[in-house]
Amino acid sequence: MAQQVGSRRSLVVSLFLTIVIAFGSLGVTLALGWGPKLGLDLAGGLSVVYKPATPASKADMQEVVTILTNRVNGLGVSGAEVNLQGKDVVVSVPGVTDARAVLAAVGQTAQLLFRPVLCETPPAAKTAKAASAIPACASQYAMTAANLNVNTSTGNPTNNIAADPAYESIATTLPQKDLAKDYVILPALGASKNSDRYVLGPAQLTGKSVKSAVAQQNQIGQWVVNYTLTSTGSPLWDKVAEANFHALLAIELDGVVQSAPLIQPSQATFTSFAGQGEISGSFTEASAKNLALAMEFGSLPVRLNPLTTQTVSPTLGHSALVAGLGAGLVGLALVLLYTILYYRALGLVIVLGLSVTAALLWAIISALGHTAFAPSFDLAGVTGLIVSIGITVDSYIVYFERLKDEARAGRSVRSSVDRGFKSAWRTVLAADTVSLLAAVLLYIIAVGDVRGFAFFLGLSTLMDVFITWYFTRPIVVLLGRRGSDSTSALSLAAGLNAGVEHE
Amino acid sequence: MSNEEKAPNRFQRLYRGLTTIDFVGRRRTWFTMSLVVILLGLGSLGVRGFNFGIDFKGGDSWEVLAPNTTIAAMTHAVENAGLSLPTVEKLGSSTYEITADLNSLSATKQLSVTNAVVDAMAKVAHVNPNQVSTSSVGPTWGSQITDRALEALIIFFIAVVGYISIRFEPKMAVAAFVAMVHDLLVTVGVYSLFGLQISPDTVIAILTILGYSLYDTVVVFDRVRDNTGGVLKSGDVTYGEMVNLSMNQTLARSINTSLVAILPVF
Repeated sequence: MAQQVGSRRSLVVSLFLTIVIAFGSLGVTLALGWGPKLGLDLAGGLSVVYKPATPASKADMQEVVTILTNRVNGLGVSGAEVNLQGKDVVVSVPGVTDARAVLAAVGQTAQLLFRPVLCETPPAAKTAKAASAIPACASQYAMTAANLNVNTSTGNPTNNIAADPAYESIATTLPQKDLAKDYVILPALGASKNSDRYVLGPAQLTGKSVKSAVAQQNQIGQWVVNYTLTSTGSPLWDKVAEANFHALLAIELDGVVQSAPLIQPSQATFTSFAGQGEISGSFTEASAKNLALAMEFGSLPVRLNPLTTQTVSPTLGHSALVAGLGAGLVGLALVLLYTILYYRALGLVIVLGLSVTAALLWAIISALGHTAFAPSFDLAGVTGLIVSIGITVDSYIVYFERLKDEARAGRSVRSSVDRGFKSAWRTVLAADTVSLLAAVLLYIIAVGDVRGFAFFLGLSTLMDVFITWYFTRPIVVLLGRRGSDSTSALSLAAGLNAGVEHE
Repeated sequence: MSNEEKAPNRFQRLYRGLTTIDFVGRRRTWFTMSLVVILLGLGSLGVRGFNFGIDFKGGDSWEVLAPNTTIAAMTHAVENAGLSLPTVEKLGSSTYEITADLNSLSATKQLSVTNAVVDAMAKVAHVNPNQVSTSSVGPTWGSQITDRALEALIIFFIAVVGYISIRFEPKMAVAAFVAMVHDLLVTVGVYSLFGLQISPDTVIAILTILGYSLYDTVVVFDRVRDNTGGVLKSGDVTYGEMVNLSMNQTLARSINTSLVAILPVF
């Protein structure tokens, strides 16, 4: 009896508990109506990967995630996720019906910059080209405080300064070339091809300094934007505002000048903003609200470029899901048929074992769908699970082939099941360790689909170890002890095809 | 137990693990066969290279379910929407996939062309524009995922060699490593030979193959270690003979497992 891998009582308890836990948790999951959190390629939806245009610190990227999360949640879609993957930001919004609208709102990779207005320029000529460096404005066109000569009683400039025609041959700065440190030429909000453009200096402040902004109507019913600055932003703002006193400071959002207000045009001398201010101009309700929104939420610390954009229609996703599951089920049926033909009674053990595994996996995947931890279940995950059918069944095959060896060596079925399990268990552990090692490494290092594959492969490998010990071991050992002398087609001996032939 | 009396056929011998194929003795034959396949694949790789999908080379693709249309009608529609030289393919029975590369256009132009194509396809398919799937991949995305996948592969190799060295023997780790590289080269060669498109799914498929390769190697090694433990000291049998015995003993398992793994794919 020293060879045995467990007392009859402990084997029965372990078998019973495993089956109860597996089907019990499946029942609970179904009763609660929980299901797996389907990935974009199965449920339909939108996924965008953004890369910072310029190298950004970890803290900056965390801030980007927070801002994008606010923005996506502001759209009122559920289940959206924004997270960092390496140096990239991944935004995924599953199950949206109008992906294009969401894309437009999220894709606005707002970066808010405050730049001094140097001068205005006529629209770009047809032959205009991008310039490597923007030359300085001619002095008579420069929008300096001296040239503008603001009249403090009206709040308007005395002089109307014309656009500098020298820039006509220079094209508007492209979004990807629009860097905070550079001189740029940008259009105003709502500008047409024939509108004047702004020549702007390097950014003196970013949206990081703005704490909050709100669109409001002032006493005379005009729409204005009131903003509050952060404690570190306030002195910076005063410095910039003082440098541009009685001149124009452009508020640039993603390559478009939202507004270019005059700084304190009604005051004779500069006074501190004391952490808050008001931007007035020819705002409509919508444009004021947009500016406020951009100032408050849109102030990304870096500009983002979309690396890949993917939208999957819910119908295509559904057909992919049906095709994937169908392939899996047909494959599973073939596998089961083959194992029953090959191993007879032991084949039935595999069928029962796989259904216990499936019940547990479904319960776990559904439960994980309710946490933020697990990746959503996508096509790659389905592949991972289908692959794991092979790994799971292999554990049985390893064990059963060992049983055949033992039986061939002339041992009784009763002692074979114990000895066979011991050596098979070592093999299964070694093989599953390698499989798990691969899954963990891939999950940590790889990006995108491969992570989902690795997660579900790793999960089902762990499940295999668990099931082999708590289910396969007790059921085969119990069967072996009970039916060693049976000669029916369903007996273990028939499946092992050993010791039967000579009768 | 006199099985020999009935002279079992080849399948029965395999079923009972009684095959006596001389794996080790004929190793030159196996090496030559592998070498030929690998050289063919590498040759093709040198001449034809890979057929990379848009996820690796960058580009755009659109997909829609349209049961009642033709490739010609779809091509006509998307060309009118502003695509030059699009690739139009029919996937399965009624899904149309259009591929083109818009990365040379400006961001705003890309968006307007993408939207025009979506509208055109929706019109041909008689569905709402939100039923059209789109995918746009920047030119640098591919190199980024390839780099990460290669990084993962190298670390995976190192970890596996380390694990097998400790669990079994260093020389088995070397053998497992060679086996994985062999399988990798064969797979990659076949992909190049047949001009199959490399997509992220391919990467997953290759990882799966490596996983299975390794898994099988571990199972065989485990048996070799089992059989050689203590026996070799007696001097009656050589290591080669024991490897042969182990290979034959695990042959039925290897074939069964491969079948079980292949079945779900069909």
